Amino acid sequence: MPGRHSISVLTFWRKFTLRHFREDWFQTLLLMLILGLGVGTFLSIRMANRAAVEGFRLFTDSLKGASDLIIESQGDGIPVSRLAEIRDSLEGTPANLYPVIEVALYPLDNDISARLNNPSTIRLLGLDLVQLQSLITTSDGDEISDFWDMLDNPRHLLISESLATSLGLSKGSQLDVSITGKKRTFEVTGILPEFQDRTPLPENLAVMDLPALLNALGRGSVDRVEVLVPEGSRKSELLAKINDTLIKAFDGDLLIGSPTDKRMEGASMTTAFRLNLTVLSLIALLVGLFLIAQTLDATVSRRRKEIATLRSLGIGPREIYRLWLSEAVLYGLAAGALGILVGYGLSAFTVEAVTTTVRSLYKETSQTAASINLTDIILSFSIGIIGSLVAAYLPARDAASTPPAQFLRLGKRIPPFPLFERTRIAFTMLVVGALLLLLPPWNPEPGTNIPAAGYATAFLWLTGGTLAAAFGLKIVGWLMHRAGGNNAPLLLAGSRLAQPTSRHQLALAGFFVAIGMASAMTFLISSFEHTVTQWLQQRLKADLFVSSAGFQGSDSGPKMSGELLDQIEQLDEVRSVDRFRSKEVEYSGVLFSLAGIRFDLLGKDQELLWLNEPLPVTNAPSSFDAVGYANENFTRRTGTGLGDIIDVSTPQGTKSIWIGGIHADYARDNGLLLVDLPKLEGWFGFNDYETASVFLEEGVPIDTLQIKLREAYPGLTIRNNSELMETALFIFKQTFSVTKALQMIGLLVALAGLILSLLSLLRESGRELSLQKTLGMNRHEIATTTAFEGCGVAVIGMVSGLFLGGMLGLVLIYVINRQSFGWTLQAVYPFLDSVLLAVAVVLLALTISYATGRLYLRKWRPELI
Amino acid sequence: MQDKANTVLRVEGLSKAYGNQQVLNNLAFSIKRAERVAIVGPSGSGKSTMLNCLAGLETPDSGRIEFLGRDLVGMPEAEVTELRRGNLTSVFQFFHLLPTLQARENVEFPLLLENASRSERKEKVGELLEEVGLTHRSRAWPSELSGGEMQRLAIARALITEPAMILADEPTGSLDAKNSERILELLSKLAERHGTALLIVTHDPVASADCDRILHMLDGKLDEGAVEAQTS
Repeated sequence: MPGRHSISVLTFWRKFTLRHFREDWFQTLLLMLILGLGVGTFLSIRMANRAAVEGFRLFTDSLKGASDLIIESQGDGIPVSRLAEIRDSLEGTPANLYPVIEVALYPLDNDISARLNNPSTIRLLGLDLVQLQSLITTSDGDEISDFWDMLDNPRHLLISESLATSLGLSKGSQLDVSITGKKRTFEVTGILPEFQDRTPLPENLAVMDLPALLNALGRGSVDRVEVLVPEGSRKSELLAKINDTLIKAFDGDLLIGSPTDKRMEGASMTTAFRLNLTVLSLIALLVGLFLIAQTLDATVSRRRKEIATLRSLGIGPREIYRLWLSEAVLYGLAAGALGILVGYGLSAFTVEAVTTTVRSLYKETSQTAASINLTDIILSFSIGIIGSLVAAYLPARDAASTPPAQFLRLGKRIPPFPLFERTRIAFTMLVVGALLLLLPPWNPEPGTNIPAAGYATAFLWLTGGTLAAAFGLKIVGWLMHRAGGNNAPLLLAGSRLAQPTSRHQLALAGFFVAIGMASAMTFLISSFEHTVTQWLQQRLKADLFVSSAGFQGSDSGPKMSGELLDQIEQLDEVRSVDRFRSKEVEYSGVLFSLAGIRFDLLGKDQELLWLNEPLPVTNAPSSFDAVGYANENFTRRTGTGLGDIIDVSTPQGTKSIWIGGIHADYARDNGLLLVDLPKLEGWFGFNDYETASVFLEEGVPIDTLQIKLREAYPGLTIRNNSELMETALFIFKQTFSVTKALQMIGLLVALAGLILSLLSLLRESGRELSLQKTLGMNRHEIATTTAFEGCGVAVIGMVSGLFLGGMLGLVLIYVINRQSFGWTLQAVYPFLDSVLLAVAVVLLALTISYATGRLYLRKWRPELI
Repeated sequence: MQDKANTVLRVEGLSKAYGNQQVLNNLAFSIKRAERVAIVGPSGSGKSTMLNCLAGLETPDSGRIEFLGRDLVGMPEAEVTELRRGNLTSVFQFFHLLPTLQARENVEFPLLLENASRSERKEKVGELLEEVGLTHRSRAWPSELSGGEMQRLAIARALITEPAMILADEPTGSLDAKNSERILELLSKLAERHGTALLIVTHDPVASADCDRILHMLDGKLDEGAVEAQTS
C-alpha cells in the first residue's frame, strides 16, 4: 500500500502543467486567445458602458473644471435679465456663476461633415470668455492671440485641438455650418489648449463668446447657469448654503441640481440598454468557459496515465482534484491577462458603437476615451479564475476518480459526463425557467425595470438546454450511423457520435449556447426591424420631413427655429406643417419626454399607431389642462394607464394631463407623452423644433419642392418619405451594430471551440488513427470522418441552438424587452436568416473539421499499435 | 520465375535506427503465397518495429519492402494505401477493434472501404462470422465481448477482404492458454483455406509451432542459421 504523499501546486505547474503547455503550444495558445476574447469582450462592453455614462458629463467641465451646481429653467432657457437676480440672491456668498448656451452645429461642407462622422455635430458652447480668460490663457502660458478681437464677434469661434485635427482646420479657416436650421459662416480664431489637470477636451467642442452667440442666435436666454464654489475647507458648507439659498429663492421656477444628478439621469436612462449589452457580451465568455471545461477534460484524458502514476505514488483523490483545479487557475490567470489586452483593444470599437447608439436613442453625450481601472483589472482576473474553476469542476472530479496505474484499463474509451446523461435535471431546469416567466420585473428605482426573472429563465434554459441537447448527439449519431451503411467515414463518425464522449458533449454545449444566443438576438432584431418599419410606414405620412442638418434623433440634438418653419408653411404649395418638440420632465421620480405635435392634424394628415384607441373626450374628468397620448413605455415606466391624470411641473405652473390614448412609438425608450403643440409651446415658451412634417397641396410635385426648399434653406435637411425611411432604418441598424458584433464574436468562439475539440479528439485517437490506417483508410477518408464528426456536432448544435434561439427570442421579445424598454414587438422569425446561418455554419464546420483532420494528419506520426 | 510470381513479400536490406540504437539491421526474407511464417525473438529484438514497417506505420531508413512485386519504400502514401488496402491486413495483440462499431460492422468495415456492394458485404460477413463462430454475437459491442471473442472478430476482419497476407503481432499475447490454442488453430486454418500468407511475430514458441517456417530475431538481425523449416 503506497504511503500518502503530497505535491505542491508550484511543483505540479512546473513539472507537469507548463511542460504540457509547451508540448501543445498551439492548442494552449488558441484556447488562451479564445478565453482572452471572451473576457475581453465582456470587459470592453463594461468600459464602453462606463464611457457612455462618463460622456454625460457637461461639455463645459473640461474647460473650467466640474461644476458644483447647475441652475436650469423649466422652460426655454433662463432670460439674461434674470442672471443678476440669481447673482443677487446669493448675497455675496463666494461662488462663480457661469452662464452657458449649448447648441449643435452641423458642418455644411460635405468633406468636413464626412470627416466629422461620429459624432456628426459640433457642440458649440457660448461662455463668458472674459470670465474664463484667466483659465484659458494661464495653461502653459499659451495665450490665445486675438483674444480680444473675438469677443462679441458673432462670427468668431475657438475649437478644440482634436476637432481642428479631425476636420483639418486651423486658425483663420472658414466653417459653413447649420445652426438652428440656418446657414452661417464662422471663422476659427484660435485653437483651445488642453488643460493638463482636467478631462481632455471633447473631440467635437467649439467655444464662442456668450454675448456673441446670443447675438448670432437672436436669443435673450441662456440654457443654464453653472455654479462653481471655490476650493477650501468650507467648500461643502458653502455649497449646501448656496443650494438652500437658490432653492428657497427660485423653487418652482428654476431647477437646481448637481452635475452628478445629471449624470445619474443619463446613467439611469440607459440602464436597461447597457445591461442588455453586458448580458450579450457574456456569450463569448460563456462559450469560452465550455472551452476551458473541454480543454481540461481533454488534458485529463490525455494525461490519464500520468494521473494514475501519481495516484500509485500515493497522491490521494482530493489532492489530484486540488491540483487540477490549480491548473484551471493558471488558465484563468492567462485569460484574465489576455482579457485586459483584448478588452482594451476592442474598447476602441465598442465605445464608439455604444456612444453612437446612446446619441441616437437617448441623449447627446461627449465621446470619452475608454479607460481601464484597477476594478477592471481585478474583475478581469476574477472572471477568468472563477469561470475557469467552475468550468474545471467536472474534469477535476473526473481526474480525481482515476484509479492508480495498476488498475487502469488501457484502451478504454473516454466516458461521457454523467451530468449530461441526467434528463431529469435538464427537464427540471427547463420547466423552472418557464415558470419564472410569470414573475414581474425587479424595480430597483422608479422608472427602471430589470427583467431579472427573464434573465434567470434564459440562464436556466441555456443550462438545461445544454444538457438536453447532449441527447441530440445520440440521435444524430444514430441517423448518421444508419445512413452510413455504404460509406465508411459516415458510418464511423456516426457510430462515434452515437456513443459521445465528454469532449463531444462540451463542444456541442459551446455551439448550442453560441447559436442559441446569437439566433435569439437575430429573432429579436428581426422582430424589432419589422415592427419599426411598420410603425414608420404608419407614422411617416407626410410628403417631406424637415430637421436641422445633423439631427440624429436625440432630443438634445440640433433644433431648427420656428421662424423657418413658419416661412415654409406660408408657401402656396404647402397645405400644413406639423412640428415636433420634446421636453424632458419628471413624473413621480421618472424622467420622460413630454412632446408636442399638432392634434388638429391627427386623423387628417397625421396618424398615430394606436395600441389603445383614444377615449371619447366625454369620458374625461371635468378638470384637466390637456389631453395626452402616452406611448407604451411611458405607461410601463410610470405605472399609469388609459384615463389616468398626471401632473407635470412647467414654467407656467403644474399642469394636469389626462391620458386619453396609448400609441406605439419606438424612437425612444424613456417614455413619451404627446400633447397638443400649442399647449406645450404655451407652457414652456419655446420657438424651436426637432423635426417637422410637411404636407403638400394636391398635385404639387414632391421632388420639385424638395429641391426648392433645399436651395432656400441649406441649413436644413429635407428628406422625402423614402429617404427618411432609409435614414431611420440606417440609424436603427447602427443601433444594433454592437449587438451584431457581439453575435459574431460568440459564433467565432464556438467555431474555434469546434476546432479545439476535434484536435483533442484526434490527439486522443492516436491508436485508432493508426488502426484506421492499417485497415486501409487513406488521409482523405480519415479527414472525412473528422469532418462528418465535426459536422454532426455542428448540425445538432445548430438545430437545438436554433430551437433554443426561438424560445429565448420569444422571452426577449415578450418579457425582457417589454420589461426593460416597454416596447410591444410583433414577433417575426427570420427564417431566411436562420437558414442562411445554419447553412453557413454547417458548411464552415464541415470545412474546418476536414481541414483540421488534414492538417493534423500532415504532422501526425502513426502510433505503434 | 514461378517462384517470383508466388512471392507475396520480399524484404531486402531493411534497416531502422532510433538515434544511435540500430533496431533493424539489414533484414532480408521473403514469404510465398499461402505460406505461414513465424518470426520469434525476445522482447526488444525489433520484431514489432519490423512489423510496423511492413504495415506502413514506420518508415525504414533503408532497404526494400516489395509487396506483390512493388516496392513500398518511397512510394507515395496514397499509392501505398491503395496497394495495401484489402491485401495486407493485421491482427494485433490487443485486438484493436473499433469500439463504436458492432461486431458485424467491425468485420464489414474493410469492405466498405473497398466500396463492395451491400449484398456482397452481407454474404461475406455472415460467412466469416460463422467461420469464427460468432454469428450469435454479430450485434454485440466490442466492450461486451471476451478476449477470445475479440481476437476471433479481429481475425474475421483481417480475412474479409481475402488479403494476400496477414500480419499478426503477438495474436495470443493477451489470451489464456486455451484461447491461444484455439485462435492459432483458427488463424492457420482460415489462412490456409483462403490462400493467405501469414506472418506471425511472437515470443511464444507455442504460437510458432504450426508455421511452415520460423525466423529467429535477435538485436535487430535475423539469425539465418537458426531458420527452421517445419515442413518442406
